[in-house]
Amino acid sequence: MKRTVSILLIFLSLTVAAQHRQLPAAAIARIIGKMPAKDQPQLDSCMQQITKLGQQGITSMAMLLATYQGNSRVRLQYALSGYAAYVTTAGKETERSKAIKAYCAALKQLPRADDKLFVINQLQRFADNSAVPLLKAYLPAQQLGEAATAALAQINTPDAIVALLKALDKANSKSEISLITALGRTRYLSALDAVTLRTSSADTRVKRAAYYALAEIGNAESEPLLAAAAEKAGYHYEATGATGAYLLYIRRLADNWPVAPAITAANKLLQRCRTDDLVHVRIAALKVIADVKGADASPLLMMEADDKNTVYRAAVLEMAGRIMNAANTDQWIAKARMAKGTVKAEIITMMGNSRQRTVIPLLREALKNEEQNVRLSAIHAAAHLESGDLMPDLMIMMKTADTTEMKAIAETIQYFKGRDMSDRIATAMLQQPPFAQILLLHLLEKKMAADRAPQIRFLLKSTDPAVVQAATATLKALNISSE
Amino acid sequence: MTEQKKTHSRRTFLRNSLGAAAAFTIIPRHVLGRGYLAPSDQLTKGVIGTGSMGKQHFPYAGTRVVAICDVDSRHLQEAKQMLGNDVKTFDDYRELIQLPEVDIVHIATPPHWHGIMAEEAARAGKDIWCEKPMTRTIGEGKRVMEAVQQYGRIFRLNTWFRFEDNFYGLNTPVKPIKKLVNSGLLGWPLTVTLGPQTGFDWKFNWIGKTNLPAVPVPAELNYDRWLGPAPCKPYNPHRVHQTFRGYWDYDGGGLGDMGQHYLDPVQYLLGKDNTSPVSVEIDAPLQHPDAVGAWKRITYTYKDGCRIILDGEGKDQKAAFIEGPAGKLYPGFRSDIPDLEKVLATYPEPQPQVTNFTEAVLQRKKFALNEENGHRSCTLVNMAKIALQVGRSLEFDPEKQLFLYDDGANRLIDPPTRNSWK
Repeated sequence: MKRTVSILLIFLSLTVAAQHRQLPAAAIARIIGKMPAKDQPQLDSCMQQITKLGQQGITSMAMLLATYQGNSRVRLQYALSGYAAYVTTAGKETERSKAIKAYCAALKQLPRADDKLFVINQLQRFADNSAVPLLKAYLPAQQLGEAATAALAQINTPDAIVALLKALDKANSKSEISLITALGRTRYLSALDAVTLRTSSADTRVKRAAYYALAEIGNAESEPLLAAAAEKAGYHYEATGATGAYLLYIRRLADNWPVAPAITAANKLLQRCRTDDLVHVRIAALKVIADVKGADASPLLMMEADDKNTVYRAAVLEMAGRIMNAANTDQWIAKARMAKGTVKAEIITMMGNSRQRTVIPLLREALKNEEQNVRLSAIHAAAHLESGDLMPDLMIMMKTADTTEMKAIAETIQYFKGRDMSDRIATAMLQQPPFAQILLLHLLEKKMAADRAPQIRFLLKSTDPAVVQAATATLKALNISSE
Repeated sequence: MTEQKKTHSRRTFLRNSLGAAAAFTIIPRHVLGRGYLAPSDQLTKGVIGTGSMGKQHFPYAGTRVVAICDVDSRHLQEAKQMLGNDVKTFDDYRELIQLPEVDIVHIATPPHWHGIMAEEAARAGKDIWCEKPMTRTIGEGKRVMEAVQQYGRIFRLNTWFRFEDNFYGLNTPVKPIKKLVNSGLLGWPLTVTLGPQTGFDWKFNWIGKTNLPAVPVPAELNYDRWLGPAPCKPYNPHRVHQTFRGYWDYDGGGLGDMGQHYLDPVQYLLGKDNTSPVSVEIDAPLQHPDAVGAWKRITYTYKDGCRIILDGEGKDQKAAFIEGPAGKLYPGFRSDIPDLEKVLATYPEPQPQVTNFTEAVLQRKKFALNEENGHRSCTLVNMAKIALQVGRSLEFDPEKQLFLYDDGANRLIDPPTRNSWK
């Protein structure tokens, strides 16, 4: 009797086990059959069905990568990657945790490297620290090491970073570059010694990766080494990337507190990179200081705005424009008043671009400057202010301007706001020289100022045939009779 | 309009306008420094990527190609034959960037290289012309922007509809539409619809193929270098050259190809050059992890309520191109606002833009479509790509440039890349 009951129990348990094995298989087939989900409701439904498979069921599904071919395999890829994304939705932490275990179990068992690679790539999208013990085992693998490195860098927990650091000791030069770069990305201070060691590598590519990783880590101890490397490179762009790394390092230093070491280093570069071929390095150093100091950088930028190099001055003024505010506008106005020629014109242009209305008196003065490039910069700056405040000044100037300035004024007026602009143009037009009148007629035509017919008709009496011709054309375009 | 035709019209424009620009500011060569030529001379450029796109950009006025780079030796040889033996050739872009005689680095590679190359070119002190989309990820875009600004470079992203040419099926340039938006006649907030019904084709022919068999890499192609930062996947010709856009590793299908062409002018129209939407909603089938698929509808919403709808199927046939509470605008500048043309004429013109790249480089002016607004319009493309890849709608913080409460989406903002090629 006892024996009969035992046999019956074993039979029943096997049947239940077999059913359990078949149930996921059938469910998996149903899910895969619906892939790719056509819309959000179908996607949500499929993802919920995958969740119901449980951890082992999901592993079973992932294991099908080893056997599925053709369209079935593609559908399986849709399901696995879809689920990898699904479990990263906020509130799905339990599902995510189970999925990580399930995908890791499959990764361990899948025999082929390309299937393992697929799973590692999915883990990069959703795995947490629990996947680190398995992923780190693939770091030395020929085909999988780089994918595992990327996944661990993405996970970016202390365990993941330690795994990358430990792998560095046994790495060949190819994986060394990947590991060093990944460690740099994590900005892991404990990697400092190992990375520093690689800066003396005979392989330029390894050296370069190490310089950049040190830059990213941004520790004060690295300053002498990186500064010396950049100096050795003559602060030029070359294969080791030492100068770029040093500048990145200074920026990272500036992210920390205190910021004084970053400013000291940047100032040193400002002094050393005075030649024209290093102007971009000098600009980059100045940018660090400008970013750190914010609006307080104005005095330095004002000094640098007098530099002989056009490229440098343009960069200085770009930085100044970004920190322009009510407080330092007056200082820049004073600077512009003191400046002469091209520098004056450049500052005026910058101030126009920054659209501070307090600059209007300066522009008014600049319109009367003896140098044409200063006058033109003021005309163009007025366009950026969009304000008709300078309209009377421009109309007065237009009377004696040359054709270049007349064209610039007419161009600028187009940007002025104001419902009465056509009226003001038409009234001022009558007092202008012939070429200016023609330009202003074109403006009235563009503004479809049919209500300005009296002023336009008045110009039909001009002694200049070109003005008469333009007035006639404008009247025709506006569909107004000449009478 | 094709890119080739575009190049010719731009060249003509440069020829006509550079004289006037040069007359405005005559800069002595010694002041500009080494590598910078007087305006009467030509700027020199190195072109990286000499496939069909790169070749189309060899000629434009005011510049001369002195160096080329490609990882496909066949492309490189063809390009050399076009340009003559004086041109220097490289298979490593870093060697081209290193040349002191190169003023401008022109990046015409697939998008997965754009960010790395642009950042490196900035570090070398080069000005940059970059084909669209600007970068493949939001993280790369941020780094390009920072590098260009740190090194004081001039950057041009090569799409141009915000300042010239008819804006695709609208059959009108963007400028009068900008004037209309600025006028406030349409009211606020605005909704813009980009779909076949408003003249924008999303080119779903760029979808990728799944289950591609691995085939031997042709001798002329350095596939490891072609992949560069992209994950290592077996070679198949469909993954490279003319059809690479179909794969997430390198681009984003029609959205990657046309997205920035279509979205950048809209960003400009809405005055969103310094920000990004707060959400992106998608209606799309599940995407394959490797091959880009089709989608139905993508909707961006800005903090102030402005929306951009990418209508892949053109379902809403009555949709206006741009719609506000007070009016609508349809292709051909048709509107429900009475006497629109006449009313609009009284308003001021939109702000002037610097639209001549050579002039921008010589006079150190920020180009109309630069590293900053280019990054933002590319972020529109990349936000949608990420939403499609994770299969859900997302919320975004435009300041931090991160998705809210979504680790899966944030992992795609700046994912770790392959580095062994370095």
